[in-house]
Amino acid sequence: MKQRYLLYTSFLTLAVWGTPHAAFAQKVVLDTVNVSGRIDPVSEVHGRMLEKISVQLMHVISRQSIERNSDITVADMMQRVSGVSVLRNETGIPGRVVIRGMDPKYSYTAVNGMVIPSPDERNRYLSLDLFPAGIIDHLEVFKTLRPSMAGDAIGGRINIVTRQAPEHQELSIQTASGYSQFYLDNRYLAFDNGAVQTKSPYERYGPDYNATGNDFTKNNLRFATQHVDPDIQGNVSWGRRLFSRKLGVLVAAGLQALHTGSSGFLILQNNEPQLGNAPGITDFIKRNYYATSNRKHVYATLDYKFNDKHRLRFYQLYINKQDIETRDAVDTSLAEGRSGPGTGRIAIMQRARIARQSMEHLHLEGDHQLGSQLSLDWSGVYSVAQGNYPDRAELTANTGRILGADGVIQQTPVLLAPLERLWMHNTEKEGDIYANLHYKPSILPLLEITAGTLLQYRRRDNFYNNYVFNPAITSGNGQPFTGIRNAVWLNNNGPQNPQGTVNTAGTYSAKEDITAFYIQAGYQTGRVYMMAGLREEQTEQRVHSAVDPGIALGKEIGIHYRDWLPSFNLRYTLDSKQDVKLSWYRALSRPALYDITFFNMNYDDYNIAGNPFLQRSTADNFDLRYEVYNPGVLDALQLTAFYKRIEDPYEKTLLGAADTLYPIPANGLSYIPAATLTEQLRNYGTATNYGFEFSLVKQFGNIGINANYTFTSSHIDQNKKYKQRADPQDPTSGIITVTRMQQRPLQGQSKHLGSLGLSYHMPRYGWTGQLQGVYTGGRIDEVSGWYDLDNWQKAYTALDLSIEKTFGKHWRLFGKASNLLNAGTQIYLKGAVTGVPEQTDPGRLLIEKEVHGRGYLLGVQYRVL
Amino acid sequence: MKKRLVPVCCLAAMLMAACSKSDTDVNIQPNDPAEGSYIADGDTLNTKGGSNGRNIKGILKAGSTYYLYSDYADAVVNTGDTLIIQSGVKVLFAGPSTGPKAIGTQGHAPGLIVNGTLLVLGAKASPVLFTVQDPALRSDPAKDPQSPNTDPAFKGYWGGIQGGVTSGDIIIKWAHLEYLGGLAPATDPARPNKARYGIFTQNPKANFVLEDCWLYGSFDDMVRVAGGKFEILRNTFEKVGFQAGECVNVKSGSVGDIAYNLVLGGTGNAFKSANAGGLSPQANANIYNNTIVNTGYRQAKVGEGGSLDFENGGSGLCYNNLLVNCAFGLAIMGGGSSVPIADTANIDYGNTYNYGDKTSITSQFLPSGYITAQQPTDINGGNATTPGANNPLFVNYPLPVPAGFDFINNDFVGNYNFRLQANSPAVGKGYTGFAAYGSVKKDATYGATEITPPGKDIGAFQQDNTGNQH
Repeated sequence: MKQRYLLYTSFLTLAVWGTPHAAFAQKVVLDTVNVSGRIDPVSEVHGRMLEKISVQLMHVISRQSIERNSDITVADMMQRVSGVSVLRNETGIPGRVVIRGMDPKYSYTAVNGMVIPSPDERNRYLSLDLFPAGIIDHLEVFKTLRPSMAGDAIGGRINIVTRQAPEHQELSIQTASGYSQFYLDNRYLAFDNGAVQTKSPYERYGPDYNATGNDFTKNNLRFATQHVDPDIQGNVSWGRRLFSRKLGVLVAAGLQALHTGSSGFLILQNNEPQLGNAPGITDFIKRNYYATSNRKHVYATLDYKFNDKHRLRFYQLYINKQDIETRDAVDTSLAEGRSGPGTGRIAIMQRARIARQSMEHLHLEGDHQLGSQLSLDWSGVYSVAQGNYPDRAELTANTGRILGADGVIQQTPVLLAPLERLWMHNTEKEGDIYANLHYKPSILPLLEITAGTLLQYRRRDNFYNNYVFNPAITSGNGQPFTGIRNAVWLNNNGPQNPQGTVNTAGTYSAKEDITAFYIQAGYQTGRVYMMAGLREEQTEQRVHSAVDPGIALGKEIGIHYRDWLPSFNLRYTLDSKQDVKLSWYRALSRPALYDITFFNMNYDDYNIAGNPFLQRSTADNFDLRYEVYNPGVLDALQLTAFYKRIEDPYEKTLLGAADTLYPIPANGLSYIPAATLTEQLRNYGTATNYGFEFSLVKQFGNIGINANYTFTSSHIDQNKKYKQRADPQDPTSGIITVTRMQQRPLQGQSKHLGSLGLSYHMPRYGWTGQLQGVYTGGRIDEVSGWYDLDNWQKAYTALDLSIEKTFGKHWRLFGKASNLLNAGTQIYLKGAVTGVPEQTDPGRLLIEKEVHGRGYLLGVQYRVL
Repeated sequence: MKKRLVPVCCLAAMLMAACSKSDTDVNIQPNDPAEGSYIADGDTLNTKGGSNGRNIKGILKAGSTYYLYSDYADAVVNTGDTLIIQSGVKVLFAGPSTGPKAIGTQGHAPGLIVNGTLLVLGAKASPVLFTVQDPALRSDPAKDPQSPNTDPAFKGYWGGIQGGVTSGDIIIKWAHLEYLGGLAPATDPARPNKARYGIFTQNPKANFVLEDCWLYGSFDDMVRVAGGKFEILRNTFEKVGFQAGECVNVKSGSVGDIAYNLVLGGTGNAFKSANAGGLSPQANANIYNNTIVNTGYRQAKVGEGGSLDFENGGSGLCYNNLLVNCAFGLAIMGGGSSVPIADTANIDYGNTYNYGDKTSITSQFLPSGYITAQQPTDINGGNATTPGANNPLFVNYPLPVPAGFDFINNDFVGNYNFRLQANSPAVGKGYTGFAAYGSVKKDATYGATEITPPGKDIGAFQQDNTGNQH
């Protein structure tokens, strides 16, 4: 018995230290050997260990995998996890993730177990591209929850575990440089981002100040092409333990400058389709994006071991991201003045945007062993997330190419169009306290009862300010366009609203308090380990908006609700290598604070409005997994089946004029009608989501394969609008808008997801190569309120190649080529339409296309251990 | 083993039978409007005892003067209340004429919000007047033609008449409405700090009558009917739209007649029918016997927006319209399944009299890219007319226009007389084989005074002195 135990321990030790072949040739009798100390958790093997031991369904991405793939941010690495796909922005940078076909709003991100607020007002949780890979120890993706975890993860929970102080002194310096293929082929269109004023005149001079033209800068709206510098990336980290290993320190800092771009087109539809919901196509916009992303981070962690029973840890993380984006577009109208290709009304637009986001996160936690049966761990966290979006503006000029009676196409003068300049900023502060008490009763030593609490206090301030400039008429029909420098605006060359537009529902302060208590019990009996528990979460949200109560609604909004979230996890060990896991948990999803205000954006005859009456979604989630782990040989197989039943999912809905916008009595009616076509988030009955995941890791000597495939199927029934004649048989009857039910999958859910990675590892020579392909099947990109007009994204495959070579003990050279297949984004509508340019797929109307090219990266790392 | 399993199973059962979802408590701060108060003589309509805005009802007595003070918010007629403005009433916009808080600046352009019924009952001899109090702020006719950049007509001194979703009838007869298009307050949920439409209606079930009025100067659309049964008859529109805006923009939920109107110098379309907004019934405008002169020049967007337009599911009839020197003629959007076409199956048109003094105008009588077809009953139909052909012979308006004539700022009626001389080619060429829709009942006070049927002569002025009475 003892020998067997020893054998297992030795296996484990050797396996964990990374030698792929067992060193055992003959049976040897050893004295008791105690192997103690903390294993540096960097390897893939450790990742598989964590997955196996966990009773919940989770995936682990280890530091080794991150380094091998030269991932830059957390979002890059997420796409390798089974059941997960990423959403990319307009220049191809991955940001948010879709877990098991569930939109990002159904999942949350935590750092070391604590949630992080978001600088983005539309999303509750952090976009993963804010997270640098250099500070990550490993990434955990939980697909089932336990009661001790915050309950708003219907899709899943991503936990970023940051690096801790190493056992031995470690110094690492890494730099890398890269280039995007897009900039080998195109020049970068830049504006002077230094000229952007962070504060609008309202913020600088007060609400009574009338801004004039001189209060606004011009250089940030002058655009010029230039050559772009190569991308730069640098990381430094250092750590060691001091004071006889009681105090551990790790500090890390990094910066990154990345240039991406894309070119493509967008086909605009009218807000309303035509009869039979045939899309009404109005414009063809050819556009290019030029983006620079500058990121900085500073990370520090200290941990102090008082003794074996008490330990304290402290983390500090500061992340700063500045995204500078230029968009230039030529918008040709397909409806106005269009008598054939090359004609029509034309708008020339150049847009300048800066987004500055920063996050400061402080985390203190302690582990205490209070006796042999009782232990306590607690965390206190304070985070500040800020977003600043100053002076967003799009300089526009109108012209046209019209066919004259003589058959010649004439270009009309290029005239200046109105300009809007927008300032927005928000600050979100969050303070959390998390405490857990663990108790092992002496009568049942294999039972562990845990109870705890999580108190979250979040405060958000949002500011919105908009100035509108109208051009004066200087010659002909308007003002010839010469650029921003010499533009002449009405009203003293200033905005028509010199005090800015601040008192809208977009300016608000909000408070959200979530109080949670839970109790859970874990019990091991023979082959079975069970964990069950109940979590209670009480949510209170208050919004205070700047809107004047005399004119519009809702200066104060108060929302309160309570949820009970039970969960049950079971692990049945078939033998040392095989497990079966079963899980059921209930979770919820809360709307973002933005969604529950009375905001209202008005486009011509079309509104987008907020909904304070939006209910949160709750879901019952069932999972069954069969897994095989073969430690030492690095084999792992996971087969998972899941089923989710989501109540009150909320989706974008179109309301007709007579539909209820808010159930608030006003003007003699018991409700407020929408009055015009309005888009609003609304709850629906029930959606279901089920699927099957397959994941495999196998090593054949030097060659490794990791493969996964996910099949997902979801259904939701939604009310949509449809345009038809009152009597479809009678062409003289009036055109009306009716409601129809449509069943569709959830937004972001791909039916098929797959990933295949091949790695070749030559430890003797220090070479490692990794080829990773990720297939994302077609999915709904954006839901439309109109029947059968959802926007679908075409399936695509991303292929990346990474190579690294280690030189001696300290040096490592790495390179990466990403997006080798030049996958871009293509969005389409089902059903073809004639007369629209750039259509290549029969039976589909391609409405958006973007190509961002391949990226190249080359770097070197110096590491002293 | 069994002993331990039982409590675990109990726990599991308890959890499975977990509580049902609790309700969400939502508390919104209530928003009850104040009671409407009656108006005393010489009152300021939008403040009482210094209040910021006021709810009003009752009668503005004949011949009296009332004020809208620019420092305060809108005057509001509550749902269910009625405001009657008798003939000869003057509503003057008062406030500082210069300085940062001058009339017409941001937050200083109050209007009349109508959630109830509004009856403006002017008479030919004593019309109702809505204008700015200080004569120095008015547009001086002696300076016409003047640059739109400095012309006070576009200054938007007040917020116009904004009908709400629950409004009752809005009846306006024999009134001068001037200097419209003030900026909506920042707190306006739909168009914060954007220029308001001159007259805006939103209730498809209510009646909207605009008869024999003079609409002078607006920054954006002068009249937007986004719901309503309308009769827009025998009005004169001048200086409509600074760089965008239609005289009458008919959206979904609106059915009615637009007839016998005189339009001078609008920036976009004079009249447009487009079924946007999702209301029922479908936009349906019967546009006949209008005289439209010099429209479509101040706008920066080319291709259309000259005189008459049907698009995006709009329907209606279009006959007997006289279009003189309009940047673009009658535009009906169609052709190809991709663009948001007008409801062509339900549009009938003809007897359009085009006149142009330049090839750039005559070559767009049938605007490029639209499916408007030449009708045999058109005068100067098609795009091949010689400039200056078929002069409509107005009693007092220079045609052909003199050299150096600027279409942009010739947007005023002034001393011109657009009646037809006896030998005008427009006489007797009107089509009378159809009827007015008559969406609103005939009534001197609560309906339309006279729903003039289609005329024998093309244009707004008839030889038998029916039609436009200005």
